[in-house]
Amino acid sequence: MTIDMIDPDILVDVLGAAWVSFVDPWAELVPGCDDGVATVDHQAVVDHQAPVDHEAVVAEVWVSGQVPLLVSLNLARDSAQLVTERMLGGAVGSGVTEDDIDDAMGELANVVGGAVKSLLPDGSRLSLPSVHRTSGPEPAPGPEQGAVTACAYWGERKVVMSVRRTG
Amino acid sequence: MYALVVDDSRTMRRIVTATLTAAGFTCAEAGDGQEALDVLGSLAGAGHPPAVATVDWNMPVMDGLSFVQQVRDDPRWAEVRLIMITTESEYSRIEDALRAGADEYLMKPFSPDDLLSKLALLDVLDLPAVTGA
Amino acid sequence: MSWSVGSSPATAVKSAGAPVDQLDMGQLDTGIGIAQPTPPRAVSAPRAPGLCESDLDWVRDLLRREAANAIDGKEYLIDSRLSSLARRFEFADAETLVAVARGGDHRVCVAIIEALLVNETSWFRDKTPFDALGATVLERLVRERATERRLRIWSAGCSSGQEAYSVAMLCRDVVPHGWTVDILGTDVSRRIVEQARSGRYSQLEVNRGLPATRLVKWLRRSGTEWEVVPELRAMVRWEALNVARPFASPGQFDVIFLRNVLIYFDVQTKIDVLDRMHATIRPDGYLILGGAETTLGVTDDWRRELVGAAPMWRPGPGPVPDQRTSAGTVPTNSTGGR
Repeated sequence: MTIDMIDPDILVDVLGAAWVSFVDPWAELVPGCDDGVATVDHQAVVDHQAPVDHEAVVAEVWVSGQVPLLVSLNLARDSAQLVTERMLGGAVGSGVTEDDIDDAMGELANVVGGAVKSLLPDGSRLSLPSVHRTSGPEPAPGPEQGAVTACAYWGERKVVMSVRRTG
Repeated sequence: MYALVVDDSRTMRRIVTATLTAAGFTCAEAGDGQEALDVLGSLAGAGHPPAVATVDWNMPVMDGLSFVQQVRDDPRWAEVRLIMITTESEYSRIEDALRAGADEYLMKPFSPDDLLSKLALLDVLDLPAVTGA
Repeated sequence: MSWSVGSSPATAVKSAGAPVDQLDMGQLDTGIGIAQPTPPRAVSAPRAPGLCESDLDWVRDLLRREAANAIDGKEYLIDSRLSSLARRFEFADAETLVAVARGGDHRVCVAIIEALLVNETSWFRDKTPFDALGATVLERLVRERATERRLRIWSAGCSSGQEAYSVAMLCRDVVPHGWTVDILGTDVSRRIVEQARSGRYSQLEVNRGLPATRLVKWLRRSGTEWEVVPELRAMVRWEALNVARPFASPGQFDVIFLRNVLIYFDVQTKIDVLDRMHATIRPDGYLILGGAETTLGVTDDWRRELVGAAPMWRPGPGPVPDQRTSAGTVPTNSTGGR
C-alpha cells in the first residue's frame, strides 16, 4: 500500500458526500485545479475591494496503523464560517463562534479521514480531530513525495485536502 | 418520546438533534460515553428513559463502543435502542458494533432521511407519518 | 469509487465519466434530429438557476411526448436534476442545457429524460410492503407452490436495484432450501440496469433503509463502495425494459413490484401498463404499487387486499370505479391481448 493508491478523486467524492449531507443539499462540490493561492478568499482577490483576509482554518486527523497518515482540510476562514453556518442550520451571518467553526471543520476532517482509513489495512485507527489557524497565505501543498492533494470548489470557494505519510 | 444524542462534536449533535426534534423526539445530549451514562441515569430518574440513543464511536473519555457495551450489560437499559453514527465504516467495525449490542449502524456522512430510515427500522418512528411520504 | 447518490434530489449522478457514452439511445426514441454540441466549459459550479416557466413546460412536454410521463409541478426536482446534468455536460447552467435540447440535440434530450426518470430509491423502501412480503405473502406462496417449489418475482422499475436485492434477502430468510427463486429486475434506463447488475453501492446508498445486520450478511466492502455478495446477485436477472411500451412476455410472476412507476404516467398509459401486468401475473399473485398509487379509477381488473399494513392488488374484479366516468377520463382499456 502506497499513498499513491489514494486517488484525489476519492477525497473530492467523500467531501462532496459530506457536503450534500451536511452543508448544501442543492449544490455539488466540483473538483478543480489548485490555483496556488490555497486559502485566500477568492472573491476578495477578484474584487480588490475588501482587504484580503489570509486567515485559514486547517483541520487535521491522524490515522495510525500500518500506514500512518495525516489527513488535512484547509479553507479560508470566511469560507469555513459560511460552511459552519450551513451545517448548523442557521442563516448566513447568524453569528457562529470561532469554536463552532473549529468544531464543524474538525468534523468534516473526521469524515474525510474515516473514508481514507477505510481504504487502509484493517486495524488502522483514527485520532480525534485537531484544528488550528494559519495567518498569511498558506502555500498550496505541492506534489511533494508522500503526499496526495485534492482541491474542490463550492461555487467560488475552495477547499484543499491533503493526505501525507507520517511514518 | 425521548432520545439521547451522544457525540463529541457539537456540530454533529446539532445536526442529529435537529432531525430527531423535527421527527417529534425530545433530545438530551452528551459529549462522551461517560457523560452519556450519567445523562441516561438522570433521564430515567426523571421518568423519561430514552427510546433511542445515537452514539458516535470516537470520543474522548469513553468511546462509543464501550458505552454500547456498558448499556447492554445493564438490564435497566434493555429497551433503549442504540444507533452507532460514525465515520468508522470498515466491515469489521460494523460487525464489532453489532456484536457489542448496537441495534443499528449509520455511517457518516448521512442525510436526515437516512437517519429517519434507521429509526423506522427500529420501530421507534412511523416514517410515513413524519415525512408525509 | 462513487460516493454520490444517484437517487438523492441533490446529487443525481456525479461526473462518473462522459455522460454521453452512458446514455441509452435505444430505449427512448425521441425522434429528434441529432446535433453535436460544443458545450461551453464551466469554470466552476454554476448557481442554482431556476428555469423559466417556458423551459419547464418544454421539459414536461418532452417527458409526456417521449416517455409518456406526466411530471406536474416538481420545479425543484427538474431544476436540481438538470443543474447536475448541465455540470456533467459542462454547460454553464440548466438554462443552457435546455436551450441546447430545444435546439434539437437528440443526445441532450435523451439525457434529460433519463435524469428525470431516475427515482429515489432505497433498501426495503417504505418498509411496510416488505414487512408484509416477509411475514405473510412469501409464507402463503411457499404453502401454495409446494409442488412447484419455485417462486418468480419481478421488480419492474427497479432503478439501481435495491428493491430486487431486498426481495432476494427476504426470500433467503423465508423460502425453504431447495426451492428455486427467480427475481427479475427491469428498468427503462439501460445505464441504471447496468448499475443494478453490478451490485455496487456507495456508502450513502447503503445508509438508507438497509438494516445493519443485513448489510454485514449480504454486502462486502470494496474500496470506498459496497458490493452485494455473489450468492445474492445470482438470484436476480436484469434487463432493460420499458413497461410503457408493449413487450415480449417475461413469463408469469407470483409477485410484481411496480412501485412509483404508474405515478408518472398519463391515464391511458397507466391502463396499458396495468393490463400488461395483468397478463404477466399468476391468477393468485400479488401486485405491489407505491404508497400513493392505486388501480382504483384506472381499471377494475384488480381487487385491493390489505396484507398486514400493506395494500396489495390481486387479479380479479374490483369495484366499479365511478371516478372514471365522473373524471371524464379514458373509459376502457385499449390493448386487449389477455
